Order: sequence, then C-alpha cells, then structure tokens
Amino acid sequence: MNDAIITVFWLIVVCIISFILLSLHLLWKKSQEEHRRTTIDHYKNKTESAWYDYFINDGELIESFIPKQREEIIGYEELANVYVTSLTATHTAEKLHYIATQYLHDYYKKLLNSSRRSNRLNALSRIEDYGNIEVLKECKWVQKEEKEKEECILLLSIYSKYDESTFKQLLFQYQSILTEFDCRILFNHLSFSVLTSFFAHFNEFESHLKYALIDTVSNKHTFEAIPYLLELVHDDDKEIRIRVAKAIYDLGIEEEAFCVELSESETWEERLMAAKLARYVKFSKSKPILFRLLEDMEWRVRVQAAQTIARHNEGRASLETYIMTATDNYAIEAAQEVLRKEGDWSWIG
Amino acid sequence: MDWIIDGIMLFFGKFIIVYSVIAIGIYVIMLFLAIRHLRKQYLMKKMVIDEEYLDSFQTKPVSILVPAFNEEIGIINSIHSLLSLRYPDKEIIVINDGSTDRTKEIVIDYFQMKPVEKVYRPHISTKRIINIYQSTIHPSLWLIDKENGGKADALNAGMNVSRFPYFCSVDGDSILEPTALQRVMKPILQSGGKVIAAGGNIRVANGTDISMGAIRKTIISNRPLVVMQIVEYLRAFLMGRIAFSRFNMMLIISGAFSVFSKEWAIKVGGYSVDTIGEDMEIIVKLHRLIREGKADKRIEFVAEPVCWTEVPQTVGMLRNQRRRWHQGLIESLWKHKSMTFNPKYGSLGFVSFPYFWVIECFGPVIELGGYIYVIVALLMGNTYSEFAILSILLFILYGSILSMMTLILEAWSMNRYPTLRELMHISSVALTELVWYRPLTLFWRCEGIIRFMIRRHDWGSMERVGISEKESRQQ
Repeated sequence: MNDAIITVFWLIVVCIISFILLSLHLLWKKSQEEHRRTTIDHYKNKTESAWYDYFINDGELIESFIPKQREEIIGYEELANVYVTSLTATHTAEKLHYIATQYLHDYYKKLLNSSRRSNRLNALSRIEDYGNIEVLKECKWVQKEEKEKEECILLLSIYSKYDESTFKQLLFQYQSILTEFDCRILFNHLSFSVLTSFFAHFNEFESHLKYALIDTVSNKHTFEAIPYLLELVHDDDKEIRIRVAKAIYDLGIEEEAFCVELSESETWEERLMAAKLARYVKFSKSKPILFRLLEDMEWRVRVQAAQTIARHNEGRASLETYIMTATDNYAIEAAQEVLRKEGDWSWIG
Repeated sequence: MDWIIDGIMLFFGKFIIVYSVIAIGIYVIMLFLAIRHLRKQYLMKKMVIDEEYLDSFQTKPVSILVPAFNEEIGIINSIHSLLSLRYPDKEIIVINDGSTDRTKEIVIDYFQMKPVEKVYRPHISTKRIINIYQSTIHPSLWLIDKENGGKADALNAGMNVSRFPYFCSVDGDSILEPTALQRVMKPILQSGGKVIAAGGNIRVANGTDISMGAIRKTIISNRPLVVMQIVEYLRAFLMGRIAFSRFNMMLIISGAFSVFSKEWAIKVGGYSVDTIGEDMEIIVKLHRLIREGKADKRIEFVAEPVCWTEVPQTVGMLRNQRRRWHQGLIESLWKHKSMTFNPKYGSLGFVSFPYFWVIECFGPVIELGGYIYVIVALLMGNTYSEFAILSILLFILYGSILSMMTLILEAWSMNRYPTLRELMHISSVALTELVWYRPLTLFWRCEGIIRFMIRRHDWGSMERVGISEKESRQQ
C-alpha cells in the first residue's frame, strides 16, 4: 500500500512539475510570440506604402524591403493577402508571382518538405495565392504518393487555377477521396472550356464528380454545356436527371417535352423540376401541367407549381380564380401562400 | 463484528481505488486523443477564413431556431449575434414558448414585426402556435408565439415552421462567433451529407465584454464559481467530446449550439418532450437510427470555439442546473438501456454506453462514497488511513491535475497565450476544486439520480442576468 501511495504521490509531483514547466514554456512562447509580432508589425509599417506603390501604382521594387527573415516573410504575406483577396488586376497577380518565384522560392520549398503538416498546408495556401507552382516541381514531397486529403485538395486547387492539364490528371487519381462539396469548389475555378471538356470523360467519373460537374455548369451559366446536358436527360441515374433538369432551368432553356415527361414522373423531385421548368414554357401550353401539379400529393410540388403560375403574366389572376372555385384545400393553401408576397405588407390591411 | 467492518472498509477502499485508476486511465487516453487531433490544426494560418463557405453555391441553407422562455434580458443581443453571422443563406426563427415576461413584446417592437399567415407542415405535433410574425426590417427573421410546452416542444415547433434542410438550435442566451455557423456546417458540407449533426465548442461568457451581440474582449471572471465552470467546460469539450467524436460515439452535443439534418431529426420524431435532457436524447435517437439502419452517417464535434453562453453565477442556480442535467442524462441512458453491450450498436454499445453509465452516471455516487470513505477511514486510522491517503491522491490526480492539463492544452492548441496572472488565477482555483466544487457538484448530481428514481419532473429555470452586464457592473 505504501508503495502505491508513494507512486501516486510522485506521479502528482511529476504532473505538477510538468504543469509548471509547460506553463513556463507557454509564457516563454508568449513573450517570443509578442517579440515576433513586434518584428512583423515593424516590417509591415516600414514597407506597407512601398508595397502598395509597387503593386498598385507601378512603383519601383525596393530591394531592401524584400523579405528575408521568417518574420519579414510573414509580414509580407499578411500585406500581400490584401492584394490577393481584393484585387484581380493581372499585373498585380504577375508581381505577386514574381516576388514569390524570385525571392521566396527556397522558403516555400523548405516548408513543403517540412515534416510538420501545418507548414506544408500553409505553403500550399500561399502557392495557391501567388501561383508560384514552379516550386512544386522541385519538391520531393509532391512526388510522394502518400498525402492527406487536405493536401490533395489544395494541390488540386492550385493546379485548377494554374495548370489545367495536371489538374485533369490528378482529378482522376484523387477522385475517390474527394466529396461532391470538394469537387464543386474545384470546378468553380475552371474556365468554361475546361469545364465543358470534362463531359467527354463523363462516364469515367464517379457519381459525386458527375453531380458536381452538372451543378457547376449550371451555377456558372456555362451555355457551351447545353448539348451535353440534353444528352443526359434520360440517364439511368435519377439524381443526374434531376440535376440536369435544374441546370436546364438555371440556364433558362425551354424544354417542353422534357417538362411534360418530368411532370408524369413517379418521384416528387422530378415533378418539382417540371413545375420549375414550366416557367419557360408558354402559359397556354404549361397551364394544364401546372394546375395538375398544383394538386400534387407532395406539398413542395404544389408550392412550386403555384409560384410558377404566379410568375406568368396571367398567372396571378388564374390563381385567384382557382382559389374561388377549387375544392382541394391543400392546393388552395399553396396558392394563397404564393399570392401573399413576403415582404409586401399591403395585404395585411 | 470487527472483521465485518474490516471487510467492508477494505472492499470499498479497493473499489474506490480501482474505479479512480480506471477513470484516470480513460481521461488520460482522451487527453492524448485530443492532443493528437488538435496538433493537426496547430500553427495553421487562417488568413482567408473559410471563404468558400460564404458562397451559397457551396453551402446549404440553414434555419436557426432560438427557443426563448422568459429571455427578455438577453434575447436582443442574441438575435443581433445571429443576424451578424457570416453565412449566405439563413433564416432565424425565434420561438417564444409562452414567456410570462416581455420577451415577445420586446422582439416584436425592436425588430418591427408583423403577424403573417405562414403555412407550415406539422411534421411533429406540438403545443398550439398562436401566431407567426415576420420582421419588416429583416425579412429572414421570424417569431413564433406558441403555448408553453418546454424547450423541446419549442424546437419542434421551430422545425415545423422552418424551410431549410438543416436547422441549428441556439439557446436564447447564447452569443455566437461571426464564423460559428460556417465552422459547424463545415463537416456537414465536406462530408457530402454523411455528417447529419454537428455540435460546437461552447465557452463561458460571464464577464466578457459584449455589445450588439459580439464578443469585444474576453475577460476571465473573478468569481470562483464561474472560473470553476470555465475549467469544467474546457475539460468536457476539449477532452471528452473530441475523443468520442473521433470514433462516432458522441452521445451529447450541446443544445446551446448544434446543427442537425432536418430530415433525420424528423425521422427520429424530433426532440423528445418527455425527457429533461432533450439535447442528449435526440443524439442517442439519431445514433440508434443510424446503427439500426446500418446507415453510413456520423455525428461530429467542432473543437474551435464558436459559441459563448452564460453559466449560473449562484450556488442555487448551479445546483438546479446540475440536478437537471444529471436527471436528463440518466433518463436518456435508461430509456435506451437496451443499447448497452448490444452488439447491434457496435462501439456505441460497448464503449460509449458503458462509459456513460459507469463514469458519468454512477460516477458521482462512487466519488461521493469515496469522500465519505476517506473521512471515515481517516477517523478509524490504521491501515484504512493508507487507503484514505491513496484515495485523496488519486482524487487530486483525477480532478485538479487533469483540469490543469486541459488549461495548458487549450492555451497551446488555440494559440491563446494566457497572462501569468490569468494562468495563476485559473490554476489556483482548479487546484481547490477537490475541496469545494467537486463535492458540491457530486452531491447535486446524486440528487439528480434520486429525482430520476422518484420520477420528479420540474423543469427549473435559470434567472438570466444578461451576459456580462451585471458582472461587469459588479467588477
């Protein structure tokens, strides 16, 4: 028993000593951090206007202001972040790239080869900002097979902006570790032509890539993709059909036959899309479809149908007449909800 | 007779020591898992914070539900903090759960609200909704005025009225970081719908400088009761939840700030109105559905601090809260007792449930018994005093030392270097935990067990002082 007491006692002593040492370490780190912050801020104050002149006013590059020490590089990165996020002028991007390639190459190479994950991710983020992808070719770590998911995504993100052929190659390699969300972010960086070119490889993609591609062309209003989308309207995958219908709707294409077909579908999501697509079909033709969908068993379809009817010129009047004569309470409710415009308080009385 | 007393004392002495060693072992494992997890984020520069989560194309819209019962003091600050959230597509639904104070009138006046005839789908039955109001200055801000039915009922009503596929439950007295919703939605979005619920890291707001719903400066309260709760929150969130979340075994995410897939929440019948701990209950029900349906879904915890909440400042309020929490815990465990050691539920049945039964649920009884044993053993002397000393040392290790280590972990992982004064203040209070705070909370938690056994159901309420304001005045 005494041995146990002594062991636990010493364990507590060790823990308390560790706590004191760790606290001292934290306090030391704090003073170090404060000192580092002072150096960074000093560099930023000294060079801020010179960098502004260089990036915005085509001023001279002052050699003595080029960052050399780690703190100076951090200061430069913080200053440069404003130009990366706020300005899109080509010459600013070229200058950011020039500084990174000419003066910070070794720094980022060292960070990329670091064993610390956060260093590698920080370096990749800055490469994405400055476009100095040359450093990636010289880096041993990039050639390695084993990478974490976040690293793969950042690499893809860099290549999607600066090297589309490598991006295509890596996309196939990494597609199984990506989610639809990741793919949407990556595809959003791509030009219309590259995006459209992916339809040639559509069948080689996994489902989540297919969905992301359709959604992105729709979001980016890629009209070049319309022929490819129309080829997919009868795809076996229901999810693809629904997303294609949404894309056709977002791109504003009149597809009467597809609209009729969807309105007779057994799945409510497809009927919902039919109600949406009917917006672009002449009211005289879409009216019977829409009023049928207004009495649909799914409330979301009913509300959408009512919204689409209200958007047509004679739609509101038709809905008002419908409310007076119809017997389907659910449909009446949907029509009433749509007629009561949110934000318009005049109807309150 | 002596040999009977001797036998009992030895048995309890050994039992308490074995229990303490197991509990310390579990906490140390959790601490290491938390260090491993947080190390990944260490020293990451976040210059452009989650910009992709600000694009509505990438995100999913979220309905924010704020149940409010007599929250007239804090509700405006809370709504301001929600309005300033950086998230592209959101609606805020405040549910006035039959408040007897001026909560409803204050919200209506301040945000210029008007009644609307909103059509909603009653997915879950709730107490009657009297009226629905919409703000004329913030059209995405709604107020539901309903009959009193408790927090769970209010959340269910909010879920019925909400339009979006995800909903976020926020307490009426919580203040959120501007990026809170982005951060909590991140695992949901990144997983492509695999994560169906996510909870945020909650911090104590008492004493902080808040205006217009934003944290201006974090100040550590001078009140030992509040400081002890700061330590407790850090320990619970940083150690326990990170570890359990890693293996998809988390049974609790805080009701103060959590996001759920509406589809899944409706599938499990929404929040249970017949239990006190509705936030734990919905998580257990979701886990149950996931495992029974063999669905590839997860429930996750976000370690970054996202939400600030007011904790009780008086012993009376704290007692009430802890009794309620413990009663809620045991109710949920009891309701789903069939999951314990049931192979159908995998690690949840073999690790999570046993842990919650032994350490969280009956732990207070054993520990309180330990305190009584120590006193009796010291009085009896001889061999027993050795057991008593060993138990005391293990209690110190189990309580105070682990709390102090969590403080270091927090300071290191979040790159938030405390001042010497702050560190000394918090660690000295943490060191005294063993002699006042721990026995008190253990006693209240045991009261919770008794209340469960006698089926006593009163909801209790916390008198709000308005985060920071009252204390700032006093300081």
